[in-house]
Amino acid sequence: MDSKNKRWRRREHDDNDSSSKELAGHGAGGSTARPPLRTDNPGASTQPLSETGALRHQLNREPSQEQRSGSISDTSADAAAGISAVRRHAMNTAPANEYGDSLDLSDAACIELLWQQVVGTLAEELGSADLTTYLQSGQPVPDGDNLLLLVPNRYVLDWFAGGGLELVQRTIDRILGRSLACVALVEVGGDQASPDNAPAQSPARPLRHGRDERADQDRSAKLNPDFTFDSFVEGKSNEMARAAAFRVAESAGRGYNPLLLYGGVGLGKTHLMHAVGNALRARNPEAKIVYLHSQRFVQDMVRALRTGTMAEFTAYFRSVDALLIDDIQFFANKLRSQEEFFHVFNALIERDKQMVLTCDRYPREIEGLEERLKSRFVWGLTTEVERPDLETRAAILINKAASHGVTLDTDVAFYIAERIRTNVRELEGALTRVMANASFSGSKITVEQVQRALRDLFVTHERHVTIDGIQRSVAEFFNLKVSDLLSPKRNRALARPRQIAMALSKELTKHSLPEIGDAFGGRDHTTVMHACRKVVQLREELPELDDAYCKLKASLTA
Amino acid sequence: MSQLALPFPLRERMNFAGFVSAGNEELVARLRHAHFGFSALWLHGTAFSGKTHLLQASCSDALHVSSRSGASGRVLYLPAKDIRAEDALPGLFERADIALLCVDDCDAWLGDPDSEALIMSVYQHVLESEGQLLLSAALPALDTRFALPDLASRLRAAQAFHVTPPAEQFWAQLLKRRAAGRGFELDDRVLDFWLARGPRSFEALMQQLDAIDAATLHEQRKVTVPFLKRQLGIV
Repeated sequence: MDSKNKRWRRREHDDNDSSSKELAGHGAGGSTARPPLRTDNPGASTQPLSETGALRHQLNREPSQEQRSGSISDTSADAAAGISAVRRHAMNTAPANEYGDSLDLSDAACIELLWQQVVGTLAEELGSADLTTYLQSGQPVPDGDNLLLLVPNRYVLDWFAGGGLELVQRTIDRILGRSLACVALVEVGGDQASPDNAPAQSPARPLRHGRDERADQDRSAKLNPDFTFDSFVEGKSNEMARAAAFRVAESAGRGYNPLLLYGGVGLGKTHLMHAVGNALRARNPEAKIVYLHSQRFVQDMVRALRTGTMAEFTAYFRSVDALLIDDIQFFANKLRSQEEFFHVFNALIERDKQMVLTCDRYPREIEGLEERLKSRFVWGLTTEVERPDLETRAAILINKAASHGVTLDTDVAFYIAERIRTNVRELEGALTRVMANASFSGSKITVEQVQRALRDLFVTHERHVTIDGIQRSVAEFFNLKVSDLLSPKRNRALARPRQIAMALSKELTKHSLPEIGDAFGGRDHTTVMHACRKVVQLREELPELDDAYCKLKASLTA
Repeated sequence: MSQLALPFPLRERMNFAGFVSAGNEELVARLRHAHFGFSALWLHGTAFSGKTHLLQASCSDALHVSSRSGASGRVLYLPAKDIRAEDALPGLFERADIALLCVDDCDAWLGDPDSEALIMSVYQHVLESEGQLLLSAALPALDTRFALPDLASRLRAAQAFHVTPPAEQFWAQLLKRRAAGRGFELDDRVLDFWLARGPRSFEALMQQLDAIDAATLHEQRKVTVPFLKRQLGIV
């Protein structure tokens, strides 16, 4: 195999056999299942691939005699290497068309227009499932005199191999009214590697997706302009984190570096990170502020490794003015990514370039993360974003509604905030649903309307009494932090609420005593037993404690 | 000699015009309403409640809109029960913008950390593309087991809609249409007989329709009352 073909190869999954087995894809879902378009070439779709195997289907512009008769034949050019088939199609000569002879295959606009017509023409012929899942996945790109059709995976490849490609070819011929002197090459892996003879700056989807071209130059995802310090609702749970982020935005690289924000999901870490990025950009529009999710870093690195552009990759990240990386817990167990990130980290810190990181837990608790990274992540300032209290949740709702031009009454905000305590993301999701329902029904947002709109959500939430939820409710009720309940401290102000929370966990969940003990800072199951007995006793002796217990239980199970 | 029936179900055209929206008016309005910026919707309901129909109809609409307006971004429908996440997803998040991504029976991919990491990547990609994510599952996201809390919180924050199965008065109409979509007829007499004696859930009726479909193809027979009685064991 020549070097060009090697570059087109895509590493297949190790379990090709199972993948092939599933290619038939006839689920039990009745109407949901979709058959392959044609299966007249089963060999191509079920042939196991070698480790480095690639699938390559080709429409050759020099058809053989056999192919001129209209039949399709497969030639296993190099089965051992995994090249599956070479397909040849007859090219008919027919009258001229709107393109005349001016179809320029090197012109991406022409290719795009042609492809849109192919899709439009076949929309009637194919079901929407085939159209969207397969045909639309094809990405035609100009390649000299050739037309490359890139597909993202073997499923789509097999669909094209099973007749889709022939259909496309026929349609192109019909649209053009003449045979198209082109080679259509269907390739697994698409833009994961560029062919040697592809136009130098030809992305996989040259016209429709100019964003990809940009992405090649700028790996950064967009900063969300709505996530600013002004739109961030501050409360007890996040005031430290906000202050730290604000300080970083004021004196990037010189103060806290890196700034690491950690805490549960959906609590506003990403919002603060974007706020820092937006503030830095506002002060210096020319600054290279790069925000991306850690998974994107890993993906880009894998791509750089595959395409031999690691030098560019590392140079890019080492040249930024500020690097904002979300959810660094996804680096866990990805050793090569950790290695690269380690060097990027060191380079940026040395040059006083600001880094902001977020994580769903304290970095030292991440398993599968190298020690040297763990220690570096907490070099600067590490601050926790906690779950917002009731008032902050209500304020977030009012603020969010206002950003959509909706005035939310305080009682409505509190009604929702009391029932959805998990995280801000879910809270905002619920508000979106409420606003959509009000818009649909033309009604004002009231408690009754909220009850109607979120009926299913509330029922589900209320069914979900978890230890986590109990801890939050008890902490809120006694004006404590959840971390107080989990701490080793044993003073009565903490011990009583903790015992009540343990007793409620025993009564309202199916967790075992050891599990409950674990959830309360790794306590022994005998501690939980003692707490349960103590609460029974105290409820008989202290009416106010019994009242508190009943109120908590009612609110948890309402 | 009986006909050998290959296990390839006929595709039915699924668009909003053919969807009985009674009970799902708000959802249908939401799906048909042009939406700007990122959004994620989670549709849950029992089998045969119409989730697949709604997803495919949404794809149809989105394609129609994009072909008219020349808008960029791809429209994709992925049946998660039929395709593995690791086969379907890796190509997506490395590529072009996604205008609409529909994942049918997405719960088939959930619960596995590797699959969820891929879904998370795709979620981020759709978010960055300012596209729409439309997911269907049997249960609400809150009742669905996730392996990654990050993904759980994102999908649990999606707008959730329960897809109400069609009410009884629409069953005859729907069965007739489904049968026609599969290439056989159900006349009114057969339908009256079947609905009077058949199961009282649409899901069970649809399962019976599958069986009748296979039997009528296998035996090359028209569906009559005696045929139906025999197939369904009605005495």
